[in-house]
Amino acid sequence: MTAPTDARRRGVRLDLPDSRRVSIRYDGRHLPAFEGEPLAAALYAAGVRIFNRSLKYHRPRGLFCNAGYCPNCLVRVDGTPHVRACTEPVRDRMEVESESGWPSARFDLLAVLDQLGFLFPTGFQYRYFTRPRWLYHRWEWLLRRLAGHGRLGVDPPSPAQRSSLTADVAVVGGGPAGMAAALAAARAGACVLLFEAESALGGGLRTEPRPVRAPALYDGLPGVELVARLATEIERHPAISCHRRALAFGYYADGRLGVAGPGTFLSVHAERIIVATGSYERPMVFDGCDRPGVFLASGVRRMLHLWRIRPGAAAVVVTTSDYGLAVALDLLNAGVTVRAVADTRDWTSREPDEARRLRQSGVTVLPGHAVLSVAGRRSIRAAILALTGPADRATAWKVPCDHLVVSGEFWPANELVFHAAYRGSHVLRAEAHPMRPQIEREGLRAVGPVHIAGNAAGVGDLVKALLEGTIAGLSAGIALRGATPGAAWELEDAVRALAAIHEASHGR
Amino acid sequence: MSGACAARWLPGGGSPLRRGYQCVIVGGGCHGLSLAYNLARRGMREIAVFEKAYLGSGASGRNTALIRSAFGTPEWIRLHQESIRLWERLSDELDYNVMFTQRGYLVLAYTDEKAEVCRRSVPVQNALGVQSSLLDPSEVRRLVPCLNVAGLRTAIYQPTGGIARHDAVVWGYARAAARLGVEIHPYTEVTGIRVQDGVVSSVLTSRGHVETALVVNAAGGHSADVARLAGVEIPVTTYPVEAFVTEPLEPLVEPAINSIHNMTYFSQTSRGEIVGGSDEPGTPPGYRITSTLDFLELAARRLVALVPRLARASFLRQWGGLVDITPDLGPLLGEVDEVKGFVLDCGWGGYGFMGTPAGAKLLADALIDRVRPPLLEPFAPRRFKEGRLLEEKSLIVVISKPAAGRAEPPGADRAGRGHLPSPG
Amino acid sequence: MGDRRIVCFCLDVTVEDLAEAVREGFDHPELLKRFTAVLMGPCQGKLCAPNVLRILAELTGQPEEALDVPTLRPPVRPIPIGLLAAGGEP
Repeated sequence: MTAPTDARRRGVRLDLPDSRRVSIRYDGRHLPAFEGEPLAAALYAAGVRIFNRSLKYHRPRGLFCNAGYCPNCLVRVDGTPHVRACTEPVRDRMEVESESGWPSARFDLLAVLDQLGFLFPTGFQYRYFTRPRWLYHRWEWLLRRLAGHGRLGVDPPSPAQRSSLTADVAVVGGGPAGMAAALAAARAGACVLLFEAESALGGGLRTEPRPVRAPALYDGLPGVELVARLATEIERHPAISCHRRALAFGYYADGRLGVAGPGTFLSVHAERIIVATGSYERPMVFDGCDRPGVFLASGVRRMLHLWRIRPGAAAVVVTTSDYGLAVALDLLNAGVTVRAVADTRDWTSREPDEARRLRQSGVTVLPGHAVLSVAGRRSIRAAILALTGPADRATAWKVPCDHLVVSGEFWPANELVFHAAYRGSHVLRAEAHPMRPQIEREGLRAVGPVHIAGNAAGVGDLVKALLEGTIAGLSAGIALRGATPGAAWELEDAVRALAAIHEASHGR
Repeated sequence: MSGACAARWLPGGGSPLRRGYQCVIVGGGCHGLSLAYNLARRGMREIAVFEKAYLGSGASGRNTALIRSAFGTPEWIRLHQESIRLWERLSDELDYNVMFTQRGYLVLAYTDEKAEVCRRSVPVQNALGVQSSLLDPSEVRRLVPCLNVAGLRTAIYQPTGGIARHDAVVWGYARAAARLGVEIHPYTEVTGIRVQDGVVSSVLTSRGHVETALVVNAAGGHSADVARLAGVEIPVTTYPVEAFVTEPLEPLVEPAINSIHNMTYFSQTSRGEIVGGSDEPGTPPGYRITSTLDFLELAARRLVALVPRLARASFLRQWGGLVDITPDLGPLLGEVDEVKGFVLDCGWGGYGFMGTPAGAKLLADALIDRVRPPLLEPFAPRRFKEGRLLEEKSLIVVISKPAAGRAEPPGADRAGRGHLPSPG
Repeated sequence: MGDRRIVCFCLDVTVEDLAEAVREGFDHPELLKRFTAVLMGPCQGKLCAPNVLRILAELTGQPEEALDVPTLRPPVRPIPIGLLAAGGEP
């Protein structure tokens, strides 16, 4: 399948959303879009590649995580600053402006600051202008204007609604672990609230097209179908109240959860909380790792499967695990030319299935390689790959591409557990660290009434997530409503299955 | 002006303790470090500062860093006016930019009671050399266009007030003190103060014990506990206070702002973030600095009432800290009567940051010269026994006074405000 | 200028910045955070915390598990003030 090098001319949409066509304005230009799709998708499809300029050096930044946790896609929408374009749904006649950069993010005269980095080492503000004072005041005046990017619209935003909710169990996160937990807690007789920050349930499974290994009924289904089945069960369940686009932003000392959604603020009190918030993907640190065109692998999956958008025409993938190999296959299936896949692991004896399939499709696969740097400033033109270990520029290989997909480690998104565990001492000693919570094997309790399951409890696979969700949900339900024979037996079964998995992985 | 400093200058942990010191200061926040610096500058040698965590880990690194001298009583006005005089020279003196920015300080009176207090206090301030004036609502509007002046009666504007970068103050003093030979020991907790025949004789720490005849209690929220180590009960109670910061915004608010009737105060940093707090009278005392949802909601409602445009801005983070408050709301500066050689620099109750330069300098002068400077005299710890209480209360944030008949907002849950009475 | 690889996207903090901060004495995670502003931007550490801690561990010659991790506070993501102001009198 041939691929023209200009992704823009080719058109990056894989297929068109089936919602209404609308028009939005971006930095004064009218752009076509589809109602309800992520704003970042509409902008990307219309050719926007530089979304933002970094705060200090005004470096161009493009889409990166596509999941609302990096700072790259912040734009001003209808008078509200710092809106994450990747999670904001398009509305007709939306007014969007780039926030940083002068005159705009796309063309920024202050980009020269990147060349003057030596003048602004970290902590520079404490070394400069200690005297005379009047000069410091002038300098501070300038600093304020260079730094503060958020412009607030004058009109008041639409009024919001506040409500209080109570339940036996609040599950935060509607991915596999969260869905399993909600259903399990309900089976154990609890009244359940489920909060999912995105517009649909499923978490990581929403971007998993391959058949998944899942216990009991769902083995062999593609991830998206498994999600659909579980979501339907949840919708139908009388004891589960499911709230989408509801982000639990804090767990507080009085046992309350603060939850925010568009136009809604919920103050939630539940006897037990199950944190199933998944994980974040860790960027790789290399020269140019922040350039437009460098994407997190999970971000590319979201673009392909949820937004139905191709990141570009020619990709290079660098990975530390099978996840990146799977994303490389996804790119191939979407018609992207995958020029090379570098795997930092040096698997000489055991080639992963995905790597074999990539090779059989004609992709160059390089075990034991990593990315050294990228070429290009406003967008990347090539990735420079080299053997891992001491950087050997002699064997470095420059691979032309228009996007680089990096798949580093995932790490738990367990801030809420931290909130619960923090006892308010000035320094949290390493031993008691809630980012590495001591999780009880039974019930998966991290601290107090807070359970944890899935990737938030430690990154693992789908089977682990489903089992942990089930264990946490059943334990919470049983603790509150008493143990019915069915629930107790199911819990025992799940605990045994999880223990078997732990043993198997330690034995390896 | 520029260029990297290659060598370590911020004191780290692990350097050995001497057998004894001329002076031991308990608490490595802005007061402890400033006092150490001032004592060293006045020629004292063998000074040690002991800090149980990292430098500035207490209120020094958590406060909202507002600075003014526009108060109601001569004692407070004089002390803080002297502080401002020193703030103006501080970056130069420490050779470290503490980012003291005199953007002005605005006290807003939205009730008749507070308006009356403002009107009465401005002449007192002016007579003592503070450049402050009363503004009417339209003048306030011109100064801060985004402020909602509906219901505003009057305001005090002090152009020489402002803000500073709290961490930089800690680091600047630490560096200057270390350069003068002060030994700064972070990660070293004081666990005991031995008193023999009514005189301080030694200090026990988590890393060993040292002999000294002079101990200064600059332990902020933990000052009562430290005093008890020496067998002294001091009239302070520790309260938790919360703060918030928003995402960076374009320059919106020039002066620091304090709406005194509902104790909401904030400023905009050089990076554009709005940082501030909103307190409640009748807050229960305690040592927990965990965050509450009540605070976030309260601060949100009050901020939007003051600056409606902030409705579109977002809170980035909330945190907490401790303040130690005396019954007359003023600090404790000077020796205690019960134990010779045990000196207090605490009880500042939320006004410690702004009072750092003068409080520490005057106390250092007092310790070296063995004469109490007049500005310091009203804050002597023995004032409570002698019935010479201070009267500053109406122009400051008062969280320790119990509230009478406060209506509960609908659906509010008051359980979240922190209620542990014992140290934890 | 040293190692200009970007570690903190929010505030353009480079590997060299972290190294310089540690050299000057900001070697505790909380001090490093306050001096360089890592973990204090819009992402509040979601993108950079593991990398910052790994680099800090290398720079100070300690295992990563021995580092105190900086306090994580609510809100997990920035929440509009107007939303929290809903309902109730100021």
